[in-house]
Amino acid sequence: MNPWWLRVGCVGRLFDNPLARVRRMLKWEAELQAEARERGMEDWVSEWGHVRLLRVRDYLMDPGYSREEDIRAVQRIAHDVFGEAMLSHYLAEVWPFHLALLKAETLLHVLTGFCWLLTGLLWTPDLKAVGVFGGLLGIVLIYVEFGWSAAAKILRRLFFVRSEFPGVNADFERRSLLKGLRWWQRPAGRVLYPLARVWRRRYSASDEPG
Amino acid sequence: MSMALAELVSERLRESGHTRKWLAQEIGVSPQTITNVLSGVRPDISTLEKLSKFLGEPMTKLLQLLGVLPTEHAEEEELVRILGDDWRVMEMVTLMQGMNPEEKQRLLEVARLFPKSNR
Repeated sequence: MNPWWLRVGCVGRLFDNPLARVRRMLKWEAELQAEARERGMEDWVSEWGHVRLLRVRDYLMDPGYSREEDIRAVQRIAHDVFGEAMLSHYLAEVWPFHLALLKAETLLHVLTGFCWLLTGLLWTPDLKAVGVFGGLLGIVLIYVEFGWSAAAKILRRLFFVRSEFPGVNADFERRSLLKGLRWWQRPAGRVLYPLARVWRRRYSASDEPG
Repeated sequence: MSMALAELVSERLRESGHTRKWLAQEIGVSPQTITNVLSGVRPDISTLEKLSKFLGEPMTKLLQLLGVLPTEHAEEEELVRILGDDWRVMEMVTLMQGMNPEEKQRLLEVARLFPKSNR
């Protein structure tokens, strides 16, 4: 059973469907890889394999309102670069966090939409004050949505890479995360990164047995 | 759909004053293939190679126009060979995108120390 916010997000999939996009690209890239293999172009076979891996990685980093069965479908299409063990790890470690983030995102979108709807409905002489309040709240929420786009990018990336590697310290991580943001997202990124790092540490610690 | 490539081919044809049919003959594909490219249909790899020669542009550029991700990642390819079906491949590939060549090499050395997981 999919959570309610994934069911709500089905509407968004009519406009932007990351699953359909990744399936189309993976299929095309697999055809190119097969053609390169037939022609004995080993460099290109390897190249397409890597392109497919990055394609899957980009999708998994932010699968939007995809359902768990969609992730499994992508694994079946790209099993050469996204094996069973990777799928199990993703569903156990990254997917729950993605769902939590998506829930907050959906609530924010719904609240923003509701504020504007309320403003439109209450824009009558008698209820003008309530309408103005709704409108102002709507404007604030739109600003929050802009800030959220930076926050979500940082959080997704931080929770995607949770293993510790020698040489990958907080300074490198911060630099690398900020590089991936647009200029107008960077100030929010600088502020949010330390907070997001603390949250990840707590989240990971709460996952540990005992 | 890959309109960026279609626009590039169309622009070159316009500049050189040639037709679709001429281009098809010149690079040895059917006129329908060129029509498809100009309509935004993704070509196969052999057509891409031929177009690359005609346009005088490297394959990597044409692939980028088609929305295929950028290349130059020998270290990342080696990671896949070393680690196989292991989530750390995804993590390391992600980290490598922000690294300079020396840092990539260092991370690769770390990966070589990990036991290879089962495929």
